Amino acid sequence: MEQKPFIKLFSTINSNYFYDVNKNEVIAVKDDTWLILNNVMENGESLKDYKLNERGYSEINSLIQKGYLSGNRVKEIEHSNCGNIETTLERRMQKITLQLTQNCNFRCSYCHYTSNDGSQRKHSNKKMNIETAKDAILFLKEHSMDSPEVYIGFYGGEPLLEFEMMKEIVRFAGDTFFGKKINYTITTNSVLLSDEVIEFFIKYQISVVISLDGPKEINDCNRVFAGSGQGTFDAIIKKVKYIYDNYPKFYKELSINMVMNPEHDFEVIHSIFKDYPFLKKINIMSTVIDDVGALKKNSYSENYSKEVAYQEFLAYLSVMHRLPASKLYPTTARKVVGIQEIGKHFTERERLPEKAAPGGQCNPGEVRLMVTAEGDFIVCERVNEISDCMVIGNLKSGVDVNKVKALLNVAKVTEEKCIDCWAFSGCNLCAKYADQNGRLAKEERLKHCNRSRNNFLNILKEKALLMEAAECYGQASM
Amino acid sequence: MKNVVLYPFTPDDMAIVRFHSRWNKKYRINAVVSPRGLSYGGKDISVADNRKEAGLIVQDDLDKVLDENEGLFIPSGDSRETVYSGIWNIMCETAKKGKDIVCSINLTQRQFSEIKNLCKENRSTFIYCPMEKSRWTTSTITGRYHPSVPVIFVGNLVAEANTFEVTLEIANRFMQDGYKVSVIGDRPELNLYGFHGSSLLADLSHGKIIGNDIAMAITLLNHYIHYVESNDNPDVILIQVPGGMLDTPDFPNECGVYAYILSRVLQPDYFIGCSLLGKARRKEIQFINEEIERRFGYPVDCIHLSNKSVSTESSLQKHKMEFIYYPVEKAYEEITKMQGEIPVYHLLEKEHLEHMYQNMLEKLSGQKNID
Repeated sequence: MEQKPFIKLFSTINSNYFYDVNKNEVIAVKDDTWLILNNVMENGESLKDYKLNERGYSEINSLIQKGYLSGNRVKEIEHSNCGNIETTLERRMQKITLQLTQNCNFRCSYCHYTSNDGSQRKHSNKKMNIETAKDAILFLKEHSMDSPEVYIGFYGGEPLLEFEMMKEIVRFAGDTFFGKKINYTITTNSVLLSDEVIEFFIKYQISVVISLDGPKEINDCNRVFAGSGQGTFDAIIKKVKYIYDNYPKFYKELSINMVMNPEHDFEVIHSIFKDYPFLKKINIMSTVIDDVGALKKNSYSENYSKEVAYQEFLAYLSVMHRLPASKLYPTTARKVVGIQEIGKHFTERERLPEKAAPGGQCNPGEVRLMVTAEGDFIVCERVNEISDCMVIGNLKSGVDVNKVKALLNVAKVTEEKCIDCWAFSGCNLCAKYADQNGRLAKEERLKHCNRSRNNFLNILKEKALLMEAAECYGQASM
Repeated sequence: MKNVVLYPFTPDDMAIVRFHSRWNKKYRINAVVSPRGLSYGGKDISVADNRKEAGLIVQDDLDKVLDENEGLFIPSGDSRETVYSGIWNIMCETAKKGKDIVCSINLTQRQFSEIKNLCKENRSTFIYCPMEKSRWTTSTITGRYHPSVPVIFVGNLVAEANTFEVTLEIANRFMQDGYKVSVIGDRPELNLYGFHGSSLLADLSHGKIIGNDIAMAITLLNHYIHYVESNDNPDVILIQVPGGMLDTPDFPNECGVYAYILSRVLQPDYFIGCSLLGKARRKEIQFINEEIERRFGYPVDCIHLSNKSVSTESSLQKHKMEFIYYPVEKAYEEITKMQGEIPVYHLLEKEHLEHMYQNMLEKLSGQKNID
């Protein structure tokens, strides 16, 4: 049976398009071409029903001659890195994140370790011992010989609860990696940032990410001290201001991570930048609360959704040089970068290969690897660390290549669906979204498909919008 | 011959370790030491680029190894500053111990004088091996020169893929047959072997054409090669092409601009394109050949396939190419699938080199005389 063209049809207010899955390209088409394609895709017609060599069908005929509109699909899910993963894990590891402690001096309500549906661990007093940390450093050293530099991250709980051990680790790492550059990062709630800690961070050029969710009334809804349950905003902002006043060079290198609750008013969240303008001088990252495995799922207020859409509009104006970037909210600036880098989603190709895997899955162990307090390896800090499918080895026995391959090929659990999905290359579902009680499960992964497809459709429309703007305003605008 | 320690050893120095003692009769590289952070210590040298065992163990205690040898050799291979951490102190301590120093890295005038005096005081030899400087200024050259002997280019199709070592392999092979070879490249160590590590070529490959416009740089290079031919009287000239020659969808690879400039200097009689693993599949070879010929005016005569490959995810994240060395058997496997009109070899393997050499001689014999 003739396969339908492997495409996704969509429209903007200005034009009609199709996304060719094989070529990984967005193509603008005339109305009559679009109608034909729509009939083929939606109404069961075939391209063979049309006399394409006749006048009137020149556009569609030309597209076919150039290799577009092919029905070719991937035959088997296999990640392109599967064949090379052993060498990658042996020689090309770059980063480890050390879970210094499972304890924390905060109890953020959305934190998985504060409350979850029972599938994840909770806060505890477990901490990494120095020998485990040193073994992890040595493990990284032995498996990173092709990496020109390495990255060591400190995580928790709250990693600064173990500052003394952190100092020892940094000194050990400096000695172990003599001759190779080490980049350090730490994610902290900041309240334990004393002068001693700051000066140590400056000396070893440790990049610091501070968590702060918005103004007091927003931040303190979710982020409270353990024990007292009191809000943490005053303590955090005082610390950040202290750094701004006393360590200006260090301040410029800080980042703030805002976890946004989409129930709240977007403008209220961002009022913190009006009230504390010094916050605009540093890098701001933002995410929405990760509700995978959470007891409470996110709900989006109308205001939040509308304001996000408006901010995206402003981001486009900025990309087209119609609005200075300084006029944007700091969280919108990242959207600008995303738009400018949209080309990375559309690397050219002739056709889909016979074996491939959908997008979304990183190389476990290469770009990141987390070592838990007990010395287990998990893919990263965002997955469930007690889930069997996410634990990919430990310091004693090394990385389990079969488990890594299973994660790389997570789409095998939904192979039939994935092979036929127009969002194949643009999928953003990593293995985390297939994790169901410790195993990679089809039904769990499928729950997130619509969201991933909608995300990629938005990217396709952004691409189309940029193509239209380039026509109106010239390519230089981009 | 004195025994020296090569420090700091990195994969870019494999060629030096292999060929130094063949052509430099003053020093033998008796041991190699690597900064311990690179994790080569205690392992066979081949671990650095995942090739077949070579029988030389990389050490990581420089003091101990230096005590057992007569000097220190500092190569220029790696571009990372961290690899050369503490190198100045090491040089001073080496000089104070009365050991010789052979140095290929750039020194300031002050450093040069200081270390030279320190060696003199301690009765050791200091050999400073910078790039060969151009002899001409813009006011002294006219005319355009065409070599009278075969010229062989060795270039990176995309990014560095063993060109230095391949160039030395080919030079060595010619010399085994009694041919006189001139080699021109962008590494200063070439000057230790009677070859030419040219500052002009090095400046070009680092994107610097100091003090001259591009047209003048082309003329200067042309006359430099004429000088080399007149002086050396070789049977063949081997030239390392600077920079990457072809861009890819993700990386510009210097856009081939330095290779283009060299193609305006002179055209080769034979061109060996060195490819990273995964960057020249069978169906792409003809396309690569057409592109090279279209852009630079000469075809690809053969391809050397390295076991070095791009580490894609990291490279895309960091917006710069990073690499991984696969086992060399993987390159051999790929080569068997790639044979066609343009032969593909792994030229660091003796049999492959010999095959390519005989084919190359046949072609060159039909063109300019290679007696």
